[in-house]
Amino acid sequence: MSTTDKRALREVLARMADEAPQPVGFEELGAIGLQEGSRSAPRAKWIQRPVSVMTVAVLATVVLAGIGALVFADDTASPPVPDTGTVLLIPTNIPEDVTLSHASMWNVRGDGTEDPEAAVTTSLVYLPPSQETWGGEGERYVTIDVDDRFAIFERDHLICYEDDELEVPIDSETCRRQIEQSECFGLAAMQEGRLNADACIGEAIDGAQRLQDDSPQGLDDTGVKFTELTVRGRPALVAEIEDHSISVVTFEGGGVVSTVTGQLLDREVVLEFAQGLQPATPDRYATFIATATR
Amino acid sequence: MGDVTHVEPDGQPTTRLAETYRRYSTDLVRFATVLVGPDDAADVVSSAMIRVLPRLESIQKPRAYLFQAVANEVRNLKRGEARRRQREAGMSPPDVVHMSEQYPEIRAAVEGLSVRQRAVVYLTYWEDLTVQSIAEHLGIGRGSVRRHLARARKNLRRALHEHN
Repeated sequence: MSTTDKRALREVLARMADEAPQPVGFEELGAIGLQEGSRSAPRAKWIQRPVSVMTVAVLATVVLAGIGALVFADDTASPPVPDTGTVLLIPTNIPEDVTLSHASMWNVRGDGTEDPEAAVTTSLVYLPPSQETWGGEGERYVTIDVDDRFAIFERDHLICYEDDELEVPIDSETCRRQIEQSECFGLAAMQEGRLNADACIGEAIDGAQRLQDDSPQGLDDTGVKFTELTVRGRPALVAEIEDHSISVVTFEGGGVVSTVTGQLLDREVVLEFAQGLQPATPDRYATFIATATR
Repeated sequence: MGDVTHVEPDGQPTTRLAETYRRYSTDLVRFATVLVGPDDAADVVSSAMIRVLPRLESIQKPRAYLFQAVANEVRNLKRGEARRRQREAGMSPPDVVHMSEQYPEIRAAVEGLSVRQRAVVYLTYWEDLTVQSIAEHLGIGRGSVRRHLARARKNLRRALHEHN
């Protein structure tokens, strides 16, 4: 989107927001029923992420959203995705100059959790000892994000709309038709109990064109390169921005996908990091991430 | 956290909750206005606040949590039959006002987006939030944010092209 387009869009959004009425007073809220329904909520374990630079954002978009494939090396067929996988993955090949600094887990509802058995998404961040943030230009880091995409499917991926923009039930015909259009996340994959890695990558190729159409300036100069390979016997996709960032997306098994992203690290170091991920029991994982607090 | 910790002896909510509400309520109503229009925005925010304010003390990112609550309330509203009847009866806010604006075609395109697409566009282009932050504000995954944004951009492209 061009700067002119953004400016016009921002003006429209500002005008729409400016039509907002005054908020109801807090005292009025109390009279309506604030005191009703008070209840406890589980403590959410959030992590604070910094603003990413454009190139990293593009790379993450390309990889995580399954978008983009400009160059494919390795003509060998991908191995099948294992039947089961776990989001509780612990690295064993850790670069010497980074340490675990942040760890977080989310449950199926998208809430932060401290219970590994309830986690369907996990995230680990490794930083140099003196560094507090990551994602910014010139910052060195490794992150590991692992999602059980089937577990979060309904919340995160199955959003179907009728013509009137109402979300429709997952089991409706409308939603079913939309799901069937995706071989990656679709019904066949769910029935089989594992993601179709080839289809996911294929759909990623289609997405690449859309991304380039949307933000050609974001890709033209960055030299993004994509490679298929095998990580721990599983199909994987590597996305690299030359001399800058690398992400390794591995189809771990079932609906689980891990993404290891490294910035300002050698390619081989990041690949070894991804290769060294090992499944852990809930107890071991909890003990492991307990060291994350600095 | 329970009722006792959030209600003063005279039955009034604590000052801390009031401060939190006052700090974010204007932004929340603006956000809701973009999603559902000015007529329903205040009610949406009020309903969302009644649901979630008592829990706020345990939340480390109250702003994101409150935006998420408003977004969820909008979804509930959209699902409501009353809303459906109103829409079918053509009682939606009139377009007349919009036509006098500088970018009527873009506004029409924004209003034509789904609620989630509109929310992602607003948080991206007005609030300047990151994908991760938007995911937290809406209670959805990062991939979902990117998908909604990509779809929204695609839907907006024609209007923006016509404008240019």
